[in-house]
Amino acid sequence: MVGDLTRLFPLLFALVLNAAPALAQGGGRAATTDPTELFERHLRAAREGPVQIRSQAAARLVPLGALAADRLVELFDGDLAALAQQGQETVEVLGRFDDARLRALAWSALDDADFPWRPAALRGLAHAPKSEEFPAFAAALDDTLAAVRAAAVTAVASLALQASAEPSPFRERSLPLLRALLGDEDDRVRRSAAFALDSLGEAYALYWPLADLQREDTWFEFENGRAARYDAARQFAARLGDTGGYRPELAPSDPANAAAIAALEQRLRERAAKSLGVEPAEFTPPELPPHAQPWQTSVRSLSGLEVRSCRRGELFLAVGADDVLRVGLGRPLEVPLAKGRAAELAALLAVGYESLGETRDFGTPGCDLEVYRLVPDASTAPSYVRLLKGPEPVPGLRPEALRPFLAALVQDAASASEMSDPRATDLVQRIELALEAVGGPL
Amino acid sequence: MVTVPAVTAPVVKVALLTSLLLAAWVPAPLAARSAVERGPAFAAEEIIEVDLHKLTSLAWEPGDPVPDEIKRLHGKRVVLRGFMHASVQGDQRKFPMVTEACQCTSTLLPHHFVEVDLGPNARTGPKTGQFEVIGRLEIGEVEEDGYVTSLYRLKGRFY
Repeated sequence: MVGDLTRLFPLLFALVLNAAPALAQGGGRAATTDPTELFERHLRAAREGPVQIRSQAAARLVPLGALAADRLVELFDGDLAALAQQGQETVEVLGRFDDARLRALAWSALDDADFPWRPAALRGLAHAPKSEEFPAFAAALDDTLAAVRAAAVTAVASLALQASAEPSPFRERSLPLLRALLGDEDDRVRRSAAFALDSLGEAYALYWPLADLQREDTWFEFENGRAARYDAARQFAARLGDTGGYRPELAPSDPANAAAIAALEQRLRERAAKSLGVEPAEFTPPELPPHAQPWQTSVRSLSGLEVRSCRRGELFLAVGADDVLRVGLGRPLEVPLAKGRAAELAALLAVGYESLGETRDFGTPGCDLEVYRLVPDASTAPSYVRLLKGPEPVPGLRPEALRPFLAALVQDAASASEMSDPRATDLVQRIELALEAVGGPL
Repeated sequence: MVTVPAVTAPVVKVALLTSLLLAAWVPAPLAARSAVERGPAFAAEEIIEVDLHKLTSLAWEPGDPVPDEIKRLHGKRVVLRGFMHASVQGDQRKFPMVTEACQCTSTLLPHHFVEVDLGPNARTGPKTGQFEVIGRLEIGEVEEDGYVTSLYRLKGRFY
């Protein structure tokens, strides 16, 4: 047996060596250098290939230059439905061509509220933003989708930095817009704005991601605090060169992490003081808005609703055992409910589950998701009902059995209208819009 | 680090022999792939609890080196906690394990997931909620048809 295999080695080795160049050029089949054929191959792989290769395939369209640009215009200009079908990876590279027609196509995709890949369109445009596009990027800072806002921050900061060497309104126009985003309800947007402001000389903003290093919040099984710690640590390492030994995998209260956070705070204090032209002792750290402050989830949730729509954004509602409706991730908006209401809502959802029999998934996976969570007792993992869909509406996707729970939840959320927290503004409307985008109107 | 009961799998003689031979000339990641779960001899091997975020939050592009801190996990037996990617449909032997089930507004890149391989005789349907897998971690780019399809792979089972 061993001898047989040994004799096969030269043949196997030769096969591997011969196959390598073809593989490297993008095909187990015969490699081609014909640009037209390469374009079609990459475009197909970007649309139909395994999910994890699509962005690589789309990126390979860019070096094909004018040929690819012309063909993309031919295929998708004026046909956003076809562009949506092609997928977000191709949408994201439109802005990477130095081609006014493709930039216009990407902007038209962004302007269509029903286009499913708007964040990808803006990420591509933000790669090399044009001065004349500043107003459009600035407008995108107010977008419904956090992923669009975060990408817009990158573009606005990039334009402000480009302009900082010469007299230009961009820097001064950017600063108040970016400062406002330090109050954004989405932590990714806040971090993006904080590092952008630091790039523009406002180092005090780094106190926002410093707070993220201390987060331990969860939403059901989602470890959002941990994810924020990793993202903030990665960006601090890129900005400062290191994180002073901070390790995001450990709890912020771990002695080594606590010491690292204290040392980082001292460095930020010096950096911020220097940017303001004052001594570190004279610098007063900024007061963060409540929702940007570190938070540790301590109350068990009995029921919850997660809605994610690639067109309408995200919504997270959790009903705690303490009869509080919590809205959002991180440090949530807390809406007090009547005593015993959490158990009533959980019972309503349980009845809905019962009516559904064994079926827990409805629809097929896409970019829209509506997930119900029910936690019967403290020792049980959540049980789920999921509505899954792509960008196209799916009539009747949401089972009727879930409506009583939803109606009660919306009714409870209405009591938030009395609250002064900006996250309470239009809460019911936001919930209804999010639900409509996935499972259809209530 | 945690210690958990060992996973014992039947040793397939041909596979083992082949893996020993291939190990002499096949690049390290492929060699490691063939040497997974070799039975009682590995019973006392330490199992490392690895934070999936640590692997997937890396700023990385195909061709980039992997930091030593992560590379040293190559070939180790690990426990990972995470979610099944929402794109999984039907019964599958392999699935992408991610830190968050819905990556609705971002694209899945080769370093954003661990490809979990349950083995030739196991299948799973879509799974909602968090779960753990145990197995041997393999780190290194795998290319198919000229594209990098994964940076991390794990052969193992649900834990």
